Amino acid sequence: MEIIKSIYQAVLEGDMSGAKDGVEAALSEGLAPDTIMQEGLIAAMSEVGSLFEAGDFFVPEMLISARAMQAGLSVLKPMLVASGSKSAGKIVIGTVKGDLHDIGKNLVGMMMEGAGFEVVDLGTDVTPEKFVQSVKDSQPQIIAMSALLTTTMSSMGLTIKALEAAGLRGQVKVIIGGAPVTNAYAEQIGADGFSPDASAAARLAKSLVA
Amino acid sequence: MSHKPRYTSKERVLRDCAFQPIDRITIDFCACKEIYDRLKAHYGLSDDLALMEKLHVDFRYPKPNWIGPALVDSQGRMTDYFNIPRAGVGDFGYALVHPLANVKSVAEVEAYPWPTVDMWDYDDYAERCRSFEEHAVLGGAWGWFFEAASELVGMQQWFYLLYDKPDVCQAILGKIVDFMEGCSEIMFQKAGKYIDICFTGDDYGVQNGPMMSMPMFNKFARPYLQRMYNVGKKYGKPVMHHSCGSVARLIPTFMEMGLNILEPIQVGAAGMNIDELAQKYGGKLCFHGSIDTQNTLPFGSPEDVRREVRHRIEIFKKYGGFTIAPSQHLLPEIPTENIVAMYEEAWDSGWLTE
Repeated sequence: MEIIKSIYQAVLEGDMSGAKDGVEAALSEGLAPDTIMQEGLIAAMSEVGSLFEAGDFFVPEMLISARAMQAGLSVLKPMLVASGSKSAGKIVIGTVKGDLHDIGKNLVGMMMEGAGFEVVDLGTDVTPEKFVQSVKDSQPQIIAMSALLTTTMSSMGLTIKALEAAGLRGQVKVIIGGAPVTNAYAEQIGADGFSPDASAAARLAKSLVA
Repeated sequence: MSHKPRYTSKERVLRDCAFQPIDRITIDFCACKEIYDRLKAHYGLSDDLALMEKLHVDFRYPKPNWIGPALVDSQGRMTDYFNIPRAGVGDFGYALVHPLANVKSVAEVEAYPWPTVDMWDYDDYAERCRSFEEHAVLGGAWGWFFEAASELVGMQQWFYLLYDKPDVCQAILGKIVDFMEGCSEIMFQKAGKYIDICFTGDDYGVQNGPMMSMPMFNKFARPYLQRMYNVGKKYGKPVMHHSCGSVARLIPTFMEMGLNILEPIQVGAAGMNIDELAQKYGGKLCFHGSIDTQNTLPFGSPEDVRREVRHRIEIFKKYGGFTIAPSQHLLPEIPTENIVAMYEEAWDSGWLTE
């Protein structure tokens, strides 16, 4: 399993070509795509998340690791599909209406991908109506909303209300995050969970679909 | 009990920076235009300086006038002096376009239309600094080089570039700081005798911790930040640095580099609890800000705000070196009554016995 170790290491070091080459080599050695995913890419991103939460990794390190993971995943994805491997679940993600900040949202998306989820990214400035439509179109298990500003946070509550009005609230879990967002705020607006950072968000999502 | 100030604002602030006893806690104000307008309407005042007097603000921050090319892009959008079109909440908003998003070489950096130091009117600036004889004057050019670089390139792309092409990043940072340091130097040459504090700002913190690792900070921020601090040091002024977010882990480095005053103290960010900071650095580093714009001011009651103000005064009574101010620009969602409560309480409870 030397080759899996090299993939793990390449992701940890943010080495894009190392991760991509490693996945190609592992596939040509005949390793199962699911094993490469679980023990190479997902295990490495989980370690990246732990390093971030411990304060040893920062946003730039996390970003380049995620970029390396994505390089490996781009090679692996068609094989995963072909082998009938199941994703951990589907997540729709977006920064709420009025807010154009995307780096936190992108990081959460990458950590979710790195945890084996299929991610539908609606981008920034996403209206409650657009979130509702995406639940109809993509049938996700989870909606993840981000806001950086105290002025835009309220759109999270409005989105939950819109989901209720559309009769969809029962079929999807809602999680929120972003600099001013707190657990108390999540409870206040009736979200299913809050996460203080991208790594914990991936853990939270896993616990919600378990 | 009625009190009489013993010092002018200028004397009070300078004494406080040197940890000498003062008559009352110092007060500062920073807000977006909408808040200025709302408060002026609330008090029935017509100009900004009258509002500063009303709120008992000890500081003044005159800005030079831009005489460079019009700050509008080809599509008629407002730009900053790096040609970045901007929009959004408050006066500063955020970048709509990242003109260096695809930068690959130092030659491309060289070819970018960088602003030059002659794009400000320094004579008018000196005159305005001189006019504030009784107030503490903040001066110098704003040194937001890391932030400007991340807006020129786009933040995510910029973080990739720090790994992929460090030489290109350093070329960008060098160009930005050549401009900012150059402007600051001329400001101090022309107006240094009227400026009390060298004020610079660049953000290195996010909610959970520093934005980058220490080796990365040392490579891509410290040398440039030192150049901004050094302008103030050269003219014998205390240096004040604005950084949002959690910068607790960077404070010892800032102090080693010559920092005197840290602003704005985002108290909800990791490690930025004001009691802990006071305990660790009280009497050695001045703190400016800390009235919570992420929580208390937008979401609390006027009494919550008053309690927070009294708490700060209580802590810093024994150390000195503290200014009551918001923990970030006051933005439109903050209720007027909370701002009024903050400044009333700062005045009423701010008297200290020497």
